[in-house]
Amino acid sequence: MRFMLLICGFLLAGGAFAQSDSKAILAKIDAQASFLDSDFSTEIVMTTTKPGEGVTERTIALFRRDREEKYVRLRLKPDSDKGKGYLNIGNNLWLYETVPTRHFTVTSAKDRFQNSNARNSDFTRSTFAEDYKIVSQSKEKLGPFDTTVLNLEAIHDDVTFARTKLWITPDNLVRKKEDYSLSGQLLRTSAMPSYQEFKGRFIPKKVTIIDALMGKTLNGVFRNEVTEYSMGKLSTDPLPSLIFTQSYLEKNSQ
Amino acid sequence: MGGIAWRNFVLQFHRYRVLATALVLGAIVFTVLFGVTESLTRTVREKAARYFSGDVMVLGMKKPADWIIHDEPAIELAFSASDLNIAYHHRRSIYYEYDAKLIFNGVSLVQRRVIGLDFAVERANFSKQEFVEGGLPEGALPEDGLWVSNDTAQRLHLRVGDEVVLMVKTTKGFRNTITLHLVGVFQDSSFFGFASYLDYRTLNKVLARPPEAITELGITLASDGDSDAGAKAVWRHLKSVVPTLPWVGTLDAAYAWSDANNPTVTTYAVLPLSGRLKQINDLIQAIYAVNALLAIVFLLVVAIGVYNTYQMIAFERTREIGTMRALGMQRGSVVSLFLTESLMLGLLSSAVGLLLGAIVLWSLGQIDFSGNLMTQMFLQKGHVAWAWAWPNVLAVVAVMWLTTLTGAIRPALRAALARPVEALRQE
Repeated sequence: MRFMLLICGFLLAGGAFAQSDSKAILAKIDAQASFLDSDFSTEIVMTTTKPGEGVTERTIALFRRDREEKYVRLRLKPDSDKGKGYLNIGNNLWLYETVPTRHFTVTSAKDRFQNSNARNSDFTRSTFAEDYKIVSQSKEKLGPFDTTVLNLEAIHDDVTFARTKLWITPDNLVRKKEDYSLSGQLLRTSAMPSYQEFKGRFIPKKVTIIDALMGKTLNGVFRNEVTEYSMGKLSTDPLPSLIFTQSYLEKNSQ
Repeated sequence: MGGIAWRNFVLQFHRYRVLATALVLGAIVFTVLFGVTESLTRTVREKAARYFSGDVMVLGMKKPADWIIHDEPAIELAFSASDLNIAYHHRRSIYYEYDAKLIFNGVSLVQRRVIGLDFAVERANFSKQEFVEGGLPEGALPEDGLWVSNDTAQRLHLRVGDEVVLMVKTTKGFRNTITLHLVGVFQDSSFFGFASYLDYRTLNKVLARPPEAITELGITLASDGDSDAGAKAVWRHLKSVVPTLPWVGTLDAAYAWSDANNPTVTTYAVLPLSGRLKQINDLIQAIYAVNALLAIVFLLVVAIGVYNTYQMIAFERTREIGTMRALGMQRGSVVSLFLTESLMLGLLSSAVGLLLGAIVLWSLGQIDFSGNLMTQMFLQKGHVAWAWAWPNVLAVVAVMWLTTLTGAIRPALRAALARPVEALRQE
């Protein structure tokens, strides 16, 4: 009896350790991609390829103040989108449109970003440790990388995807990510093969998002919709608080 | 009198020809007009009742909204206790967001409404959909079966048997998907065509609702049923049994009540079909208004024509009237004779008009209007459904007889009042 209790205790302790260890991995991933001690700004160049429909190119300015859960995204290109943007404060995300009239509408971090395959939540700080629990993990070779594969399940309903799968290299960088629906249908795959180090953080040089469901069959072969983006002009210079206001977006559009 | 009137009517028919033609044309126009109107409105109502949950429907209001009906036996009891002539029952679980997507071969299409049916209850009604491909197979239906409109099928290039992904948000807001097999394609490119149908348990599964959850119960009344009166009757029975909203009449008003009162327990709203979609109701009212206007204008034209023609006929027959009076016929008999002739004219013209109108109406029903998207809402399989609006047609026949009588009575009285000698002098 005493032996059985010992075994159970050992297993429970082992499970708790494994869980806390996994949480620690997620927290490290988050820490490497978040700027809680400074502001962060960057310029994102994004292309979306819709098979048979051509390529759309966009340039977006991103301003983040992670410690206050605030960010602003301004559309810089194409010219027809200039002046439009997003403002996020806490759990509220507004979309500022200029056509047909200048107005704000409430939108969701879970929604698509500008008809691309990216979601609004792709541009916020990383919050894996707060949003997900690890349900399983394994080791896998991903091209040249030795990775740990984590299967995650959402622990609350504020996340965009109920299930997600991460391929993480020993340096705690996410090299590949698959997002699933609640029923387990693959919705999209993201690849981040290379990173740039910036002020002690790691920013993907290029992110490629492949939509698993959307695309077109061309010449008998199914081609997925793909969105690629890269981040340049990185900065941690302090940003004026005025940027994170609706009036800034209004003023910027004039 | 009848024999003399008939003899006169036959002998004088050359004088009545113009009048008879006008009356026949009138009867044709009214038969077609009322028949088409009845067909269009009946079709719209039928489609709307199938799209929404019948003529009378019950929804559960609660904050936060879960839509689930917890008192089904009480609601069913209210339906049966309301002494209504029920044609169909509806039992459904519905996705209330407007972001449901069907995805096939890389292309997605938003559906305005995704309806989970309890086919054990709704099979008979759903089988009335106009299937252009596939349909409702005999026996047990596939759990992952999907039925879409031809418009959706065309846009997604879907064929029966294809695997389609349905993407919705669960009750907790997670994006979720399910793979379904297309079983049937029904014809509807109208407002009601942007709906997909599947088994309610399958929809509950993808929405993460309890497997047997139902969010709408309803009844379709027999064709002569009044949905407003029916809804009120159900509401009166239901309100004494379970928490029920005050009579609100429309869905918007029900939402407003819910926002104002924040019910923490499921409180039921009883709504008539007209309260679900004001635009459809307005459209039907507009059709009736245009119809009534046309009918009044046409009747006025016919009445004036009849009156003038009878004046002429009475004038032309003055000598004949004088002869009859000279032979001893009383004034009252002369008036009766004229009126009987006019009644015969009305009867014969209406009968011929109704017959020809029915033929025109039937011929109209043979024309395929399905190419015109604007008219889809009003058509069945692209055709104007046969509808014989008896009360309206009979009312028109009665009005036409009355018009003929009114047109005949004054000239008949004038002719009867003339002195026989003066009448005989008339050239």
